[in-house]
Amino acid sequence: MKRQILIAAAVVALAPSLSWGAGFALFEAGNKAQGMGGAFTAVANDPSAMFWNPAGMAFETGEGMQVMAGVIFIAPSQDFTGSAPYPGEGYTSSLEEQIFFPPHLYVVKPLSDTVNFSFGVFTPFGLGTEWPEGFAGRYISTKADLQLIDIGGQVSWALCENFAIGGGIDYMIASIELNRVVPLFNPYTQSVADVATVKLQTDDMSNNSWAWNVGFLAKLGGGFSIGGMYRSDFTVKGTSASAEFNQIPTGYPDFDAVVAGALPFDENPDVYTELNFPDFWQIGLAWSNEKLTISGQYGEMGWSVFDELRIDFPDYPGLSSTIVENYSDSEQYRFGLEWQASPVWAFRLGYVFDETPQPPESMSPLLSDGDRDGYTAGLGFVSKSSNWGFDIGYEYLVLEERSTGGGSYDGYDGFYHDGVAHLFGASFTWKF
Amino acid sequence: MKRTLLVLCAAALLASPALAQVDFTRYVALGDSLTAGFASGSLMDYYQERSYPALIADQAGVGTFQMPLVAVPGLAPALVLESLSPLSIAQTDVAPPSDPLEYFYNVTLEAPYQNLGIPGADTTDLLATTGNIFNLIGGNYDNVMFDLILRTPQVEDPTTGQLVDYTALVSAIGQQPTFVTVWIGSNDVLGAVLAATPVDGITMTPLADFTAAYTQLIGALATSLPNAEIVVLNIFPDARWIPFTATVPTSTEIAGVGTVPFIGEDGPLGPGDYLTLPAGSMLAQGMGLPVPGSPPLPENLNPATGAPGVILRAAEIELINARLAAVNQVIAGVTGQFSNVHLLDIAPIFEALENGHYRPFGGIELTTEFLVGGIFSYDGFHPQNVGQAVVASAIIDLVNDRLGAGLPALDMYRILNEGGWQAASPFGIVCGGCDPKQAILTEQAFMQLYEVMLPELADRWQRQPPSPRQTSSVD
Repeated sequence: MKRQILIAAAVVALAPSLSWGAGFALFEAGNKAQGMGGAFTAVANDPSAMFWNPAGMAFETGEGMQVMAGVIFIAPSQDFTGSAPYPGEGYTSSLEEQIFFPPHLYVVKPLSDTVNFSFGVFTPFGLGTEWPEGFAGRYISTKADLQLIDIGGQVSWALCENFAIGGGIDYMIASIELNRVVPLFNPYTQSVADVATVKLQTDDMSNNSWAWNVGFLAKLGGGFSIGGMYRSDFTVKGTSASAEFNQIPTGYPDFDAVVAGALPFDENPDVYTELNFPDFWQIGLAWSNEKLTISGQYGEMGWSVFDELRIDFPDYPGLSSTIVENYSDSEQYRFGLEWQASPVWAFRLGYVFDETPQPPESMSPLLSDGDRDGYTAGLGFVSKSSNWGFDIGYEYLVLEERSTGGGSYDGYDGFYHDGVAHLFGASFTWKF
Repeated sequence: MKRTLLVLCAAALLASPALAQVDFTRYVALGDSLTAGFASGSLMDYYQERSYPALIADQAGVGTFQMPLVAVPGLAPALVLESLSPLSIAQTDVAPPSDPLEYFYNVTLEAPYQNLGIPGADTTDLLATTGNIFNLIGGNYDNVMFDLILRTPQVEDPTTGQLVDYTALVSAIGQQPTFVTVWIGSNDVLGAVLAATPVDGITMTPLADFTAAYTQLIGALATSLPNAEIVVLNIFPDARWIPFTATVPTSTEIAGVGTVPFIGEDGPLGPGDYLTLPAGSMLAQGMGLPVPGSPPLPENLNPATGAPGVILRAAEIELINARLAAVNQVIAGVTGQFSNVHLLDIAPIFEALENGHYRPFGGIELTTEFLVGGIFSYDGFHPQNVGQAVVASAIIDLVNDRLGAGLPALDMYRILNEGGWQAASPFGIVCGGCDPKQAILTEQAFMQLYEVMLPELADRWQRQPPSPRQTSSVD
């Protein structure tokens, strides 16, 4: 026999057609920075500097020990309208409503007048998409969740009174869950049948990687400051992940029996994945006086490292696959404004343009990205004693409407539109 | 002066051939069973209406596209899947209507059909063979497909007033189509696969004869219809990619012994040898097994009975594939001579389907695999509705990309989910409560298919019996 019919067909049908998208970078490291559109690299004067500029806290040793904790709620929505040949003109579907809440926690402790040590836990990458049951793209993805937790340690050092450097290391832990439906031609009906669901997921905390970061912040005089930062790329190797297959009865017992013999339903076979995360650099210029801070920033994410995604089944080599992604590096522009209305209250506004790295061909139900425009606003409060405070941030993010242009790698063509997200959160800071 | 320039510019624009729109006002499709929409050993309205010519006519908004529609259960009654384990495929027991005018319910159409795909036809047949509907109505099925589709043996030539043979080519040209597709040549070679016996003049058309017939056919169309766009498809590039050849294993596992090859008349099957689908039922009956007393599997077409062989030895596959390549070379050469003839090379499509690289639809992968690949019907030879849609899509891409037509893509979501004829049939799913049979393809069903597909094979063999292993006669 050329090859075993059903097994081979099942293998082909199983090749996961997933594409991680741009949108799984998160910039929600703190609500003060969020209110200013993330234009914070040349400002970097609260503990979320751990993300935005490792050098920033060197100038804040006078504040003593600080603890900052918070969360940002993210509520995305997006609609899809299909085109021919699949899923066809006029087909529509919408992303299920979900709310994500990546948390952040920073502890900053001065080691001397010029050196600050930071410890932090935050979420620089994350993704969540879920589509209604039975929707036409279910063979690509029904529900996907990715969360990357960054546990970082960082030292910032003021070399002189107006120039500081900083650097740190990050321990990255990934958790991933991918769900989809497995199709196979039902030979009785001669039409496509749903024969199984498959869930790929990381089993524990051992899917991890190390990364590093550096930054500088210079106070130029006249209220001007300039800052730059770099966070390294890294690869999470999923050494501890498995696939769970569950059979869907088709109503044809002997077809079901053949499917049962072809897929590893009772085994939860091991899966090995490699996921490349991009590096990230920003350079910013800010001006401030006692009342006003104006900040602008440019940067890039090195998404071209995400050229392919490997998913290996060591015990079932026939199920393994390599997916071509072909992402490009992408640019960001950020602008922020803070008005210190009183010693207690501050108001913030911001704008961010975040270019998508995703080619239209790899847009899919797993992730369909587009250029993003974000409009932000924020509010800051510091108690009269300066011992504690909070920041509230809001961002309205608009995703560019975008078509796959008939070239979807998964053969799922159409128009992703009305993509918006509301991001709202609060950070609390205590000083000791 | 200015005005002259404008006129010249307008004239130049009008003459510009590059972006000429394709005129789909009158579309005629010429071909064989693949064009007719023959599937699962049957010509049936459900699949005729989903044949690639019908799909293209739909997308192009062709006003009139008539076909020789056959009512359920089709001609011959369609094969259905009775059981997967054990695998059993047999003809449906749905009985044909007793009234021929109900069975062949479009035969009274007072105009030619636009789908001139004639199951069983080779290239010469399109040039020379005629039909007579009264044979069919009278119960004579000897020339059934030509009788059904061409219907009248002769017509009057309007210019000379003389009677001429009404062949598929005459019918096509007489309709003065503005768009034509031609997919012919498969039956000039693939009879060798059906009979597992490549012999020139019997199961294959000698290359010189094919070349002459093909040149005449395409030349007549191109020159008689100078204003029509003619799309020509070449033929399957590899006999090993057809489920009819690729499905049945050539060896078996015996506990304690290992892999043991099945046995043919010329000895055990070796590397590169293939068994055709009907070998499955023979194996199930105890033939070809590596045990004492088991009769060997037949190698070749039996000249006395007309029964097919079931073994394609590696050398035979090589001969057939060489002939497929030679035929495709002829097709490329002939079509290249005419500016209004456009060749669609189907090899990359079937190569991609064979290797799992064909573009997915929403994550659904189509393959050449029997039963679960989505392309081929139960006869292992002909595409079903999804396979027909793949061919139609390739033609639509060609006319859009190369001829500037703007045909919309097919709705593959609907096509992948609509199912086979039983899904639309008042008879429901045929296998409910049927008896599983110990056969891959029951012999009766296969012979029915075989007779429909290659009515002349046994006759030819009896007229000109070569020695059974005379495969070297293939040039």
